[in-house]
Amino acid sequence: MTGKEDALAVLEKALSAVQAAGCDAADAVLLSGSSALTRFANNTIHQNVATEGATLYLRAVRGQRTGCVRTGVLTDEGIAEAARRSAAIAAVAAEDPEFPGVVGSPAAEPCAVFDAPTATASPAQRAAAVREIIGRIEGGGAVAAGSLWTGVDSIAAANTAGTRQYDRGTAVRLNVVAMADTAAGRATFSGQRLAEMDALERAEFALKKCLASRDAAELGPGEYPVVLEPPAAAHLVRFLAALGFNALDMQQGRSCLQGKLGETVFDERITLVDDPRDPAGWPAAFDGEGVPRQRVELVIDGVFESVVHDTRTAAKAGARSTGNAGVPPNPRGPYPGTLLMSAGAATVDEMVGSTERGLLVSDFHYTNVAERSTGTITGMTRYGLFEIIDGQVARPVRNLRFTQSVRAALADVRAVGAARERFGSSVVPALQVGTFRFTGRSDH
Amino acid sequence: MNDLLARALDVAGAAGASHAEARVVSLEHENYEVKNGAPVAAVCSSSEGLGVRCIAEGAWGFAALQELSSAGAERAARQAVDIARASATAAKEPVALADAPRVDGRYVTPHEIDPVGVPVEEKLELLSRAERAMHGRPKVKITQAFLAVHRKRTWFGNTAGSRYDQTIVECGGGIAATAVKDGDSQIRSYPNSFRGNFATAGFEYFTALDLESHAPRVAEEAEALLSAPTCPAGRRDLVIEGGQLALQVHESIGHPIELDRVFGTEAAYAGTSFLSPDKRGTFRYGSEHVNVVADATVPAGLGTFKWDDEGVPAQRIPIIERGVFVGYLSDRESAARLGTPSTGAARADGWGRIPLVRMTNINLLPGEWELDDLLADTDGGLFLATNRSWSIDDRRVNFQFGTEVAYEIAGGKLGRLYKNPSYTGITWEFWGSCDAVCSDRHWTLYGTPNCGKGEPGQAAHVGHGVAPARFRNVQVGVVR
Repeated sequence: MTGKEDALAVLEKALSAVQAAGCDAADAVLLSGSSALTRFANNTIHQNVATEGATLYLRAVRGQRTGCVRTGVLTDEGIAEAARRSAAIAAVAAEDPEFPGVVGSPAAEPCAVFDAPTATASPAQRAAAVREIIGRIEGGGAVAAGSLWTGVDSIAAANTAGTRQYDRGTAVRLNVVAMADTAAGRATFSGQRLAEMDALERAEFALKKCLASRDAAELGPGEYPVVLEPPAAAHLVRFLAALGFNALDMQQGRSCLQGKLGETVFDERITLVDDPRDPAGWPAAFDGEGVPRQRVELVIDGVFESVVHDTRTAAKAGARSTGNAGVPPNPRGPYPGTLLMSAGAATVDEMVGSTERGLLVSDFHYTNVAERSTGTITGMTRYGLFEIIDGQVARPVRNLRFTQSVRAALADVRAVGAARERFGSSVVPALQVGTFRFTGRSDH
Repeated sequence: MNDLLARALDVAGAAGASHAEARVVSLEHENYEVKNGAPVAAVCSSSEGLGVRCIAEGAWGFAALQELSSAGAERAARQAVDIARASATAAKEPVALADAPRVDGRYVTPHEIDPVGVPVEEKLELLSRAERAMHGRPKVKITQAFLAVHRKRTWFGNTAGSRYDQTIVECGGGIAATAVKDGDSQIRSYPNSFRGNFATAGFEYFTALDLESHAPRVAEEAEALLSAPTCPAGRRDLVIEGGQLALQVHESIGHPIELDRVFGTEAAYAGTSFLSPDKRGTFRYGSEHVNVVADATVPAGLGTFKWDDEGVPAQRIPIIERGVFVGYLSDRESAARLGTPSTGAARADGWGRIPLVRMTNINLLPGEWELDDLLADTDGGLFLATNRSWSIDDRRVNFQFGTEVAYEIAGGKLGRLYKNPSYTGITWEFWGSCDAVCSDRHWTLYGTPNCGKGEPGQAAHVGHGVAPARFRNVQVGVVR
């Protein structure tokens, strides 16, 4: 992790070198950090790694021509070489008429959470937490697997139009899986402070799911009402974000929400925002172009309200960037990276209780786009699938494949959970959906 | 670099490591994209660093950093040993490794024209010409041309005395046209989807793809898809072309045969495998027409090399013989557990990652059919081409794929065009339904440069040699 002064000094050197090479403008981002991950399986630590590094992203601009270089060689010579190469690419590239130029931004107030004990967490600390997890799961008659990741990252951004940004933060990610033959249960934790992680509670949760999933019965594919626990609901929200709210997709006519701006597309209980400063989510002060991130109301009470922009899509739309760019050149366009779905009033037990016959879905696995224009995705259930009969969780059933339009599912919501969980940078409650289409089965 | 390796290994040994490996990796990567007439990406990347992996007190530790100095080597080595000692506090059995020969040498993948040395303007001009050749159709709204260049040099050493200096040179690219109308969007690609096809080769590989001459057809097909009917659901005989079949091999053969998955070490992330050790030598994976090898020695494959990232020499090993499963992909640790030699499949994504069991080139061996004869013999079937979507469960049993196009096979020829085709099945049932594989005249190596696995995430560059093949009575069209 590079400190603010050192990081901005690297960026100043790079920008100066690009301008000295005859370019009109430039922008630069420095990502740096260190991370450590302790991985376990078969009730033992089997992989245990630590990595530190930094990467400079540099874009040189000559009028409408640009050239980009990324380098991990941050010596004076390395920075100079990166500047020379980016300037050389910009000299020979064709003009990009939609390149909006380098845009200056005011300083964004840092908002990432930096927790010193997490930044300095030792291998011994991670191993102690893992031993606790393994002990609980093994003691419960199952096999433990998973990972505990701690890290610290900094991001700095600067450009020749005056932008100067810096922020740094810590992160903790725990993944715990308990397995008994082919049955499995999972629990996760995403946060910024190691002290907030309750490893034993997470192990207990995964073990309970696993034991409840044993001896699963076979159930045929078909259309079922479902209760999606937060990990499963998060898959739907992430794909909706990827397929629906990108302004570039909208400008190209291939968003799954094409032509529906301002319309009621989803159930009125659905509200979804991209909020980079909500402490419930994953705070991020600015984007890969150094533009301060903003709160964007994507869906309010079921109405599709807005898309997110980077400087390119904003210029084309006559709007302002919402601060959702990746690092240049970012040809795939903007993405809402800090998604928060509003909570409802129902508990998962209440959702199950109001389901005559259906499925309780713990999580999905390997979800992917099946048909873009309708927002249809496919994937498998994982970590526990249960049949609901007469308002009760009746029995575990074997995993099923689903093929379902996310847009249609979120228009058919019957209840939204009162409790939300964080998965990376998404915060999502449980969802009860009227009809969900399962199209295949597996052997476990 | 050998001095750095020696310093890291010496320090690791002195700190208590019973075994250590060190890798210095220097990576050059170039990525170009011309889209709708403009170069939206022209990115050159470089990275170098040192990774040290060791066993101390019977457990693994790994540390990596960018500081290529004696001090950096010492710091990484000491940190790796410290981490290994922490691992040992939650270890059941000491790590055991299969024997590996001592190796020493230098190797560069064969290539005629160093792609890094080709001027940027020449690269962009070739892409621009290919991209422009897709213009002129009003419903084709997005036209893209891609080129990627990759050069990875690895200096490897271990405490058993192995040393090597290996350079892998890769190149490739492709084109894609996306037609859009009334909220529907349809894509066609050449020579494969998701940025094209890639090989361990020089710039000559990219120019031989001749993107420009294929561009008008690609644009025409994308536009035609907009008005094509949706592929009807039902059980059909399928002839699957190479690009799609390569991904089918990847997902439903390549991953299940990874021995670390079999032993559960990926259980909490990508998953495990249905292919338990008792199945080796007995399990009927497919029909007698299904013969598969893992071949890290085949020229131009994206999984081709001289030594893996544990210093084990590249090999060609049988995986499926006449439909029967016979062998796994392994590294030294998983091989020791099985009681076999390593198959040389330990591969790491750069200096900052540990080696995992990864695919090399997982190749479906050619059969004897000519494609025209196969189509003539499959009346009423469907010809599916070019992957668009994929998904498979955590034990690699149930899969579902979508392709860019399907054609009705009628009268021995490709007939009516369908959009949004998909098919689904159970791995061993699907391969069991294979009753014809085309000949070596139709056999092509496809490169997959983005195979994800592991935590922290790694992207491996792997290859698949395939020829079109026929599968009977497959479920088609589950997407509506």
